[in-house]
Amino acid sequence: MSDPTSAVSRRASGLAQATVFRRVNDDVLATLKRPGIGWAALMAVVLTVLGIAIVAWMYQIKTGLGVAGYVPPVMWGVYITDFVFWVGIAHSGTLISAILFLFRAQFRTAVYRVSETMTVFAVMTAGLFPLIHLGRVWYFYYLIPYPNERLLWPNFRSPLLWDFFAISTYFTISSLFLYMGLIPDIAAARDRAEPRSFRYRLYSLLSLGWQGTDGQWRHYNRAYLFMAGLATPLVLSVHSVVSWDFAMAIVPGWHSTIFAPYFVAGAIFSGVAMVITLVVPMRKAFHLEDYIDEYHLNNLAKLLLLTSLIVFYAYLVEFFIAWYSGSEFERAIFMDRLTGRYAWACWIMYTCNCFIPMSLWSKRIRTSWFWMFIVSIFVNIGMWFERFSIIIQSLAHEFMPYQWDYYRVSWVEWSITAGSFAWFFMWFLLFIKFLPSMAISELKELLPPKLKRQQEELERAS
Amino acid sequence: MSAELMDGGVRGVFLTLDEVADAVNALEDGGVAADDITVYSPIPTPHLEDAIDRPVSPVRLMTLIGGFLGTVTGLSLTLWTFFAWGLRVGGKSIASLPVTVIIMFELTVLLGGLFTLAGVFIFSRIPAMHTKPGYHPRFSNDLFGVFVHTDDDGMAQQASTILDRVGAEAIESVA
Repeated sequence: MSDPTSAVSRRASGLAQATVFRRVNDDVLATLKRPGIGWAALMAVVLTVLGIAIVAWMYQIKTGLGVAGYVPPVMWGVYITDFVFWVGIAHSGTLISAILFLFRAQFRTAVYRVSETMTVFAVMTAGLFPLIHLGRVWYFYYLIPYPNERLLWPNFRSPLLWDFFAISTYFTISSLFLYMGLIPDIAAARDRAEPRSFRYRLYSLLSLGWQGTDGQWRHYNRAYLFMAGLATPLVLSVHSVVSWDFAMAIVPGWHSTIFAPYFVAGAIFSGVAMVITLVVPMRKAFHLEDYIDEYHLNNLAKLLLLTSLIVFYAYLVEFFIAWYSGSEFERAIFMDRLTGRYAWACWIMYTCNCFIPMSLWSKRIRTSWFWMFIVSIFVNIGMWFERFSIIIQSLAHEFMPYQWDYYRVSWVEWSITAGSFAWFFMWFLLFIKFLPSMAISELKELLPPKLKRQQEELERAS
Repeated sequence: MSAELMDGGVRGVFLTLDEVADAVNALEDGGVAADDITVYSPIPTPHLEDAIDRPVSPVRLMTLIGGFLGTVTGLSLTLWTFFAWGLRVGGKSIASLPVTVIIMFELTVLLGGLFTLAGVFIFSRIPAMHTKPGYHPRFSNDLFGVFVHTDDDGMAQQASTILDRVGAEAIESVA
C-alpha cells in the first residue's frame, strides 16, 4: 500500500472525471441523510450517561467537593486526570490537520476532518473539568485574566494562567481552522439541499455565501497555509504548558524537565488512538471504504507505533533520572510507582501504552480494522491511567510519610468521567449527521487533475 | 470593480481544468479585463492559480499584522501587570521574561489566526447573503465555470464566441 492516494483516486482512472467528482460529493454528503435507528440508539445511550453525569455534578455542587473522594494530600484527582486526558486527545487533531498538511502527507486528507472535530470537542470536554474541579463553579470567572476590584491582576507567573491562555488559544485556533476547512464543503451541502428546507437555510448561513471563485480560493489557500503554520507550534506548546502545571511544582514525580516533550508525545499518541477509535466504526457505518482504506490505517498505525516508542522511552528516562539524580524522594516515588499501592494503575499504563502497541510492528495488525480498533481502545485506557498515575500516585506519596494517603475514586467522579465521554460522543454524533465528515474539496483535489486530453481519451475509450 | 460584485454577463461551463485556464487566457488576449472574469472551481487547485496568473493574496499581511499585535499585546500586558503591583519577592526581578514569552507566543498565534480569518472574510467578500448570478450549484460539485461581466451586447457576443472556441460545454447569458 505504498500508493499515496486513496482508493477513489486509484479507481478514478477508469471513470469519467466529472462522474468521479460527483461521486465524491454523493458519497460524502450521503452521510448527512436522515439518521437511522443505530444512530438514534447510540444517541440515547450517550444522553442517558450524560444525564447521570449531570445529576452527579448537581449533587456535587449541592453537597460540596467532599463527595469527590479527595483526601489530603491528594487534592488533584480524577477531574484533573480527565482534564489532561482530554487536552491530550485534542492534540493529534491539529497534528494531523496542520503539521501533516505542511509536510504534504496525503493520507491525512481522508481523516483530518474527523481529527479536527475531535480536537474541538475534546477541548470543549477538557474545558469542563477545571469548572467541575472548582467546586464553587459560580466563581469560574476568577480564571479569566482581568483585574479584581483592587486592580490586582492575576499572577502571570502561575502556570495555571499560562494554561488559560494556551487552552483558550488552542480552542479558538482549532475551531477557526475546522470552520475554515468546512466552508467550501458546507457550500456543497447547501447546493445539494432542498431549497427552503431547514438544512438549506442552515448550510446557507454557515457557508457564508461561498461560491468557490478564483479570488475566494486564492485567499482561502493562502490563509489555510498560514493557519497551519500558526497551529503547528501551538500543537507543541499547548501540552507543554499543560505539563508545566505539574513540572513547575516541586512534587517528586512531577518536577522534571522531560515533562514537556513527554506530554506532547503522549498527547499525540492518545489522539491518534482516538482518531482510529472514531474512524473505524464511522467508515463501516457510512460505507466509506473507498475513501479510508488500509493505506490510511497503516499510516495512522505507524504514527501510533512511533509515538508509543517515544512514550516508552520517556517512561524509561523518568526512571533513569530518578536514579541518576540521587534524590531519595525521586527514587522513592518511582519505586512506589512500580510496587506501591497504585502499582496496578502504573502496570495498566505500561501494558496498554508500551507492550500492546508493540504488536504494531506486524503489518497484518496495522492493516486489520478489527485489531487496530482494539489496540486504539487499549491505548485510550492506557493514556487515561498514565495521567491518573502521574497525578494521583505522585500526590499520594509526597515528601513526608505521615502525609501519605490513599485516594479512592468516588461514584460521583466515575459518573462525571463517563459523562465526559458521553458529552464528547454526543457532539461527534451530531457533527457526523449535520456537517460533512470528510473534506470534499480536498478529496477531489487528490484526484488526477481534470484535463481535456484525458477527457477525450476517456470518451474515445468508452 | 471585480466581476464578483457585478450582475450581468456570460457564463461558460467547463468539464476540465485546462479548458478553464485556456478560456481565461483567451478572454484576456481578446481584450477582456482580468477584473471582469470570475472562475468558479469545485477544488482549491494550485494548477488553476498558476494558469490564470493573479496577484498573491494580501491575506498574508493580515496574518503579519495580527501576529505583531499579539506579540506586542502579550509583552505589554505581562510587563504592565508586573510593574502595576511591583512587589519584589525573594530578591528576584519584578518582571519575569520567560513568562512574557509564553503569553506573547499565545497571543501572537491567537491574533494572527483571528486576523487571518478576518482577511479571508474581507478579501473574499463573505459573508454574502446570496450567491451571485454567475454561480451555478454544480460549481461546488463537478463542473468549472467562467463568468464574464459584460456591459453591452457586443461584448457579450465576443465573450460567447471565445468561450465557444475554447470548448465550453454550455454558454449562457445571465443577468
